[in-house]
Amino acid sequence: MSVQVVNEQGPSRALQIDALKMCPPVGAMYAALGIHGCLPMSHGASGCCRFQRMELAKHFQRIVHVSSSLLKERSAIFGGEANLTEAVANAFAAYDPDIIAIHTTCMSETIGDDLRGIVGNLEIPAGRSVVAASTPGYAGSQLTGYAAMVSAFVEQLAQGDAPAWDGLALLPGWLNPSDIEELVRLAHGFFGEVAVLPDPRGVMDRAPSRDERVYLPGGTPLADIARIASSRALIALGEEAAWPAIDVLDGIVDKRGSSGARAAASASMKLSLPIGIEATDRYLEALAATSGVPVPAAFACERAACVEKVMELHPRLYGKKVALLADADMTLPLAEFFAGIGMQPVYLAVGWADADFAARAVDMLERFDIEGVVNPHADRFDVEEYLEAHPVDLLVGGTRAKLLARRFEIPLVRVGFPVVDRPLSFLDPVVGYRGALCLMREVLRGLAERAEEGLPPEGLSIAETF
Amino acid sequence: MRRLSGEAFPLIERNADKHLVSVPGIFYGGGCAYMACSGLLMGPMKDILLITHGPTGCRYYSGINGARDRGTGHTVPYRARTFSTDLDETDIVFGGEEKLARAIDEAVGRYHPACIVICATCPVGLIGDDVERVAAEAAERHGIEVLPISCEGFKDEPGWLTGARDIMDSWVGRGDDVGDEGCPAEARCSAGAGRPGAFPIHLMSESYVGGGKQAIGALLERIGYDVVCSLMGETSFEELKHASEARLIVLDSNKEIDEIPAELARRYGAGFFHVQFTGLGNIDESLRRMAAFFGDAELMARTEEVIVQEHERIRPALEGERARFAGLKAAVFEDIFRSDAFANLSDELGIGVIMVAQDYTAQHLVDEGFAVELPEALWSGAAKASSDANPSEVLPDANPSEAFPDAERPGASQDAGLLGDLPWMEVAPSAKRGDRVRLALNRNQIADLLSDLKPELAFAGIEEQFGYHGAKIRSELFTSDDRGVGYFGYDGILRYAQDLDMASRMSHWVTELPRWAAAGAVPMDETCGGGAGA
Repeated sequence: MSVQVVNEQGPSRALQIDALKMCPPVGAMYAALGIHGCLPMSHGASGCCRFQRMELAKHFQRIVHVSSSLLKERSAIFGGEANLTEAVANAFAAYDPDIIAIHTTCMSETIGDDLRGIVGNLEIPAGRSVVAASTPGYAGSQLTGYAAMVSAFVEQLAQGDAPAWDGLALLPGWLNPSDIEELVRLAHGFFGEVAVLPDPRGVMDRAPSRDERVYLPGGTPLADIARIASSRALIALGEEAAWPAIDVLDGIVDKRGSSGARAAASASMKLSLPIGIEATDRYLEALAATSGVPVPAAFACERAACVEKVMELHPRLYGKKVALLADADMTLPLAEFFAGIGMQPVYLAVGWADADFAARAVDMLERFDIEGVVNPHADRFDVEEYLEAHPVDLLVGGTRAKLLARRFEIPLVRVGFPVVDRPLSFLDPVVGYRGALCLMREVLRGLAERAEEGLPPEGLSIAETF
Repeated sequence: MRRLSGEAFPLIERNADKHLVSVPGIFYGGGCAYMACSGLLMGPMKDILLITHGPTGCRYYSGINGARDRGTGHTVPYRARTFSTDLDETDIVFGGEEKLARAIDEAVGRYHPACIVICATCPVGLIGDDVERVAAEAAERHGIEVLPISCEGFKDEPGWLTGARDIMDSWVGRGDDVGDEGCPAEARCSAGAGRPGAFPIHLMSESYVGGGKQAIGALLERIGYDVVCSLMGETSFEELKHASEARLIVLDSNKEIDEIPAELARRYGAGFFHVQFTGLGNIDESLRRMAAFFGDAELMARTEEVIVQEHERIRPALEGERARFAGLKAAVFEDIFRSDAFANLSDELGIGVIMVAQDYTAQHLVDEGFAVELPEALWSGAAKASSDANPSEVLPDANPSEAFPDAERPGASQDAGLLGDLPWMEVAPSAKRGDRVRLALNRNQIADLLSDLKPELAFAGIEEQFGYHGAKIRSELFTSDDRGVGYFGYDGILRYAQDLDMASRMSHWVTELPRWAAAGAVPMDETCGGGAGA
């Protein structure tokens, strides 16, 4: 019994075939869009901005406005400062955002623009802010960029001397608005006030105003970012997307000393995304520990209902092999959930993961006695080659995995980002006990539809049990 | 309203200089050089293996086959895949040439393509990788075509132009150059004897993919044309080698790509002009011009025959649609792709079209310098309403001679006395029907004009630019330049009418509120924000 790790140091081929990873700037963009009144600005050539905002637009079926410094050949020679300065001035004048969140790209990084220096020289209208994050497209994944932007917000806008407040600051990692809603619903069982950074609710699930100077009411209010270091409790969900920012926050708390309500970092907790029953248990445990409030009975009932369904339905899931193609933060909790309900997550494919991902994955799979493969630098072709030799029953991943699903005639459960071919998919949560039930429903549906494929009407059963 | 003497100008004039205005910080609908080359130009090519030399993102985002490609059938095992060198930090520091060479070797080893195209991305040009050398060595090593294109995203030149020029220089004219292994099954040269046909043409158009290829291709074949190849449309390396055999190059595109067909025409002695296969009048005119070019009596007769057949075929449906939509008003902002098509099709359905165009000679964003063109009948009503209300509000700030360069307006003159107080207005008899008025207005004046005229349909840009929220037909299909479908071919107008019908049936969701909201109990727009219902 052993777990195999492949591509631990990097991809096995020079030729990437069917990428699984996006680039950091799209993550920075998504994070920035979750801030109220914030206009993301891509510091680079025009295509980056267009490509990435379209990926978000397709996932959420809405128009996404993002500004760009629109670097051209001139900037390759003279640097991008002139364009960025002009872009910030124009964007404040034309769209009147509260905040402009600048992220870099391959180009602005490669030409060596001194982002901090340029931002320091900007003329920013009174009462407005500029936040800047370095997100070269060639270093890491979309989660890297997401983390860089959240960290930048914390570092540049959180106030070390904000008055202490008796609530929870939640850094939720890369999730859909419906997931945030579920996380906050659970958190409100313990805390009266919950600040979420970033908070795509009411932004990404809505169409932007037709008046470009008017911002949607959703997103993290600036005031919540300012006071985020002074909350009673702080929870970050997601190793790559959310944990880096908590380190920045703990630094702010350390500097301030333990005068705040939250004794230096003592109540800051790092968790994986609460996908599945066990991960949700840990989330509730953390909420209870940091708040001092016992888990409300209602949540215990939700858990019981979820477990009842698992106990009812697990025979249909037992031993089903699943290959996962998701980002690093989602993959492990998903695998843990599937393993916990009797399935076999046999291939974990992540486009790019931190150095310690593989070890955590191995530990988790070994805990469930699963003989699987962990690939932290995968492309879709790696998965394809595996599947040719090792058939599985189910794929779990984004839209593009459907090419594999068709090739191997197996169902695909669409999870993560981007899901662009099944509109409104983003409405179902994956986190919490509710999310676990939704996921289980989708898995069962996929397996059932596959089982019924090609059968004549007479061959179809109406109910499994009679 | 007095009519001025002067020569006619086309009912709805194309803005030849139309391009997306690229101003740092201002929302920009365009892509980049890499995107245009790898997606627009290379995307629909059936037989090439495209390797993006760059970090993962560029190919990830561009590596989707959208509706453009649906059902085109992937005939080579690598057609639906994406390939990239996935440059990382180390490659950026130490260079990516060696990795590119290995990537090509791996691609050849696995897929044996006849032709590899390498598209460069931003960092490649900046770190100075010698992609040309790597490509030349790989071509030598494997005995295949390897075409490197320097289409880094930040390049000033559009990527389709860079790529098309490289194709013209490297592939075209090699039609007899059949390799040892012969042509792949899909290749044009296997189509057999008799090609090129009597009237070989090169249809250069990004519409010539998917449904557009089916519609336009069938029409042209019925008349007797042989579409040799189709740059920017569905075509291939093998077909483009034969591009030199086309006797006529026709371009149906909004892209400024004239340089390519003009040069091809010069090199190989072919003819070249623009055509438009969207809008009934445009299609008729394009087909007639093509037939006239070849000057073949039979071809011309067949062209007329097909035109009559097509008009007859769609007449019953079209009459129904015209009855439904005639008399509506539409405002079109001439800054987006497809605005010509929207304007033409609306006009042919009997909808009064208000065209608003920016003065593209001004490279900065200003509130001045818009050109507006609308039917005289609409203007008469609006001018009266405006002058009754407050004549000073429609006084011009813009200098008409700047907004309308004289060269573009033969015979157009100004009339100081028109409607008393509008000296900048130009009126000319139309070439088709009705009369159209041209005006130079500033942003506020246009907003006033729109609120007077109350067009039921406002295409993308109108609402955003001029704050006009009064359109009664609402659909993202028409209000976003990121969406929309092709309306090419004779059936295009019917598809357009169907979309209008669809939009009009859904519009009440956003134009009307439930009674409990209308009663004022809930200020929906303030609490909800957003576009819908606002």
